[in-house]
This record gives sequence, C-alpha cells and structure tokens, in this order.
Amino acid sequence: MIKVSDLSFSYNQDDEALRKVNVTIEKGSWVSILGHNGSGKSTLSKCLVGLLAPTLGTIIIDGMEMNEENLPKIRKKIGIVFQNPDNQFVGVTVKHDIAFGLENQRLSPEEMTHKIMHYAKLVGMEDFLGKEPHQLSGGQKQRVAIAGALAMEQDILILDEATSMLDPEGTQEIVELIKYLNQSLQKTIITITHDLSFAGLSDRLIVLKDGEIILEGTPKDVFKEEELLKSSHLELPFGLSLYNDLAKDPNVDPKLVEALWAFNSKM
Amino acid sequence: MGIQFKDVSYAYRGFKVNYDAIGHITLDIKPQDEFIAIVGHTGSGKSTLVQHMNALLLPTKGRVVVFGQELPPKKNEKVNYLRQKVGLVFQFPEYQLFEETILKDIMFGPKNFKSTEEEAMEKAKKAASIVGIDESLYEQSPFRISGGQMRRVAVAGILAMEPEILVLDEPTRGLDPKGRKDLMAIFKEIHETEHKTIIMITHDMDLVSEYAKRVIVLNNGTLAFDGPKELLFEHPHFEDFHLDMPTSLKILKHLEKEVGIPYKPQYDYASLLQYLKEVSHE
Repeated sequence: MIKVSDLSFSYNQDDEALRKVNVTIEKGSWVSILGHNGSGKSTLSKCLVGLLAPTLGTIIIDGMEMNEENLPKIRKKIGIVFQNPDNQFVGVTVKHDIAFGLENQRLSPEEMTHKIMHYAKLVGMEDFLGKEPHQLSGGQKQRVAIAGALAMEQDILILDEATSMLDPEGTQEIVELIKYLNQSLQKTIITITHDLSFAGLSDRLIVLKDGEIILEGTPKDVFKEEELLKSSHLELPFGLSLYNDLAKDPNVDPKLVEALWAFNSKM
Repeated sequence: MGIQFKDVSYAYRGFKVNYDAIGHITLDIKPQDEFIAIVGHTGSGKSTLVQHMNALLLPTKGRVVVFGQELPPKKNEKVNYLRQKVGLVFQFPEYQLFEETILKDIMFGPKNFKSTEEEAMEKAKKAASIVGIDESLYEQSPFRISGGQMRRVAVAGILAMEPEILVLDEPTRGLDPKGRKDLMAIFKEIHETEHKTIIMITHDMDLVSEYAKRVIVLNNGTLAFDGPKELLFEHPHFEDFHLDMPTSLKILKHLEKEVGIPYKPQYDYASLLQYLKEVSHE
C-alpha cells in the first residue's frame, strides 16, 4: 500500500508544483493520475520513486517511510517506465536491455539467461532478444522497458505517459499488457496520463490541477464532472462525451445509455 | 490545376539496392474544397507521397504536375516557388522553431519568398490570429510556451506563406485531446471559410471520420483505395485495408447488437448525437 500524506513540492521558492496532496493506493489496484501539462502529475510520480524529495509531507510504501535510509529498499518495490521509448533503451539489444538491472544482483549465467527469457516471455518479446532498438516499433520498445522493470521484481509499477508517443497499435499493445500485469500478476499499477479513455480502464482516478487534487473516484463518477474536467484542460474522449450528452437527456432510453457505458469500458 | 500524379514511383537509393517507397500512383487533387485524409500503416509510403506535392522529392518514374508545372527529373532552383503554393507542415513541426520571438519565427517563411519586412509582418500577424496566438505572445520566445501553442506557432509559419494547398503530416500527433480538438477546429475553419484544399496524413480514424471528405489508403506503397470516406467505411472488404473503424461507427454497431438501434452510418459527433436522440424519442 502507498500512503502519501500532505505532500508538497517546490522546484523554486515562488511556485509549488504540488500542494498538500493526500493519496492512498491499495495493493493490487490500478490507479490513474490525470492532469494537464504542468499539473504536477509527473512531479508526484518522481516523488513516489524517490527521484525527488518532497519539500513537506510523507510517503509511506508498504510500511516504510521514504527517506535516505529506506530508499534502497523502496526502490526494490517500485519501478517506473517513462514516456519516450528511445530515451530509456540502454542495452545494445533487447536481451542486454532486460539484463541491465539484473547485472549487479550476483546471478549465475544460467539464472541470468533464465530470468531474461522469463520476463521477455511475459511481455511477448521472446522472439526479439537479439534485435537492436532501431529494429523495434515504439510499442515493442516500451514492452522491453516494462520487462526490465518486471525483472527487478518490483510490486508497484508506475507508467508515466508510457503510451503518449505510440501509434494506436502500440498503445493497444501496452494497454493489454498493463491489464495482464494488474490482473494476472497482481501488480499495483499507477498510470500517469492525460488520456481519459486510457485512464477509464483503471479502478480509480485522481485528477490534479495546478498541484492540487480536484477530483478522485471511480472512472464513472469522475467522468460525470465534465465541466470540472474541462476547466482542468482535460477533454472527454468521443464515446464518453456522447455518454454524458445522452445521459443528460431524460427522453433517451436508459438501456441505450447503459449500452454506451459498456462500450466505453471495454475499449 | 491542383496536383496530378501520373503513374508515379519513387525509389530510395540504398547502398546496394534501391527500394520502392511508392509505386504506380495516379491521383488528381483539386486546388480547392478538398479535405483528404491519407492513411496506411507505418512504412506504407504516406510521407514519401506528400513530399512530392511540393517538390521536396522528385519522382523516380512517372509525372507529377503541381499547379500546371511538371516537376523536373533533377533538382533545380525553379521548383522552390511550389513550396509557397503547397505548404507542408511536418510531423512535430515545433522542433523546427528557431527564432528569438514568436512573431519573427512566423515571419521567416514569407520573408524567404520575397515579402518585404512589412508585408511579412502583416502576413505573420494574420496567420497568428487564425491559429489563436494572441498579440501579447508576439515578442515571447517560442520555446517558453506550451507544446500545443508551439505546434500552432509552427502551423502559423506555414499559413503565413499563404499557400493554396495545405499538407499536414500527422498534425495532431503527441497532442492531448484538447490540443487535438483545438487544432483540428482551426483546419476546419480554414477549409470552410477559405475553401483551401487540406491534405492530412493521420493514423486516427476518428479524425478521418469527423473531418475528411475523401480518403486515400496506401498499402506497401501502392494505392489501395481512393474515394469518399463513406465508400471506404462501407466497403465490403474493409478489413482488407487493415484499418481501424472510427469510434462513431463502432458505437453504432455496438448499439445495434445490444439494444437493436438500426445501424445508419453517422460520421461526426453532432450527427451521431442527433441520430441517437431521434431514434430514442420515437
């Protein structure tokens, strides 16, 4: 479980990027953190993995408070995949990239090979182990990045805009993989995004605006607040917007409205 | 006039082998009132195709005629003026911003096409107002504004050259849904008020459905379909194109199956909403 209490962060004195943020994330859940550019969502994710130290407030992950002493232990629990697939591919080949994080764990060559194969299979990249990054699509590169994080056996995975540079096919690949990680491997998933249709697949949404939480709840509850979302520069996707417009009209058959909701939740 | 392709092929020259990026393309694009989407998988030749439209690439075989002028077989200076006639907005055009101020950046194009300083400034201001860049931003650095604003400044730089035809290579890629909607509204406005032909490469079938009139589908460098979008989406072998259906049509198919609402294609948001209200009021 992650418990964030009264978290504030400032990059400089005049400007608070996060203001008194309180968040609880249950083990095994999938939470999306939404917000426009500059809303503080990436700052929050960087605080959660200990890349930034909060100005005020506390972060407790599985009973451990985030501080210098606990950081090495916390890093074993929580991993992050970033937006640009090209900036996080460190190996020469897929195999080397997955191996990167394993290299200082004193594994025997057999164990190493076994682990690489195992995680490559989990993300469906076992046939690409010898490929170089330029031979892979964006979606494939992100899958390798996820395999690298999985190889560290962390329980919590943060995906910071991990689909925003991908084409529709690549996005769909990653969406399916996230569902699998969450449902079959019971990983806690935190997705940082400004894409509401993607966020709609998670269990719970947290909406940030100018460093503060303005909305929190299930996708269904949050998406009703169209005006508040718009004021945070978030635009409802086609199907959700249609759902809201029809739900508002009392003459429209409720069965149609429900069928439309079902359409939106399957994506 | 407009743009004509007659049996055009283009091969990239590799170290040992040449590979065909597009082959045997024949097209006729009118100078006004067209809104064309070019779709197809990554590597299908979309970008290669549009780069012929303003002579950035010259055909290996076949003929390309742009506003009455046939592209020469070899690069020469004389084709430069076509870049003013056909304005091409590249992918992530904001990467090409470079001037000290936003206004100077937008003026760069018209100045290159022999406008005086005053003319260029006038054209730049007009273009800035079309894309919704406020006067208060003119003297700011183009690197200190949001990604969506940077994209609009880059588009204004092309509009300031007053092209007859506007070619857009994935104009909304990487923008958030709000930025996407705002930018598309600008292109729609330009198309409707100035009747300019707009040619847009995209992967987003929702944009095709909402805005385009005609669709060109490329598959491995050849023309797989060229016609009205209605015919594409109702094509009996649509699945052979390996394209996604637009959300509007997916919703209609879902509603027909689940609650028996008759499937009647609606391509844009407003008409889909109206249709669903109508059928449910009956």
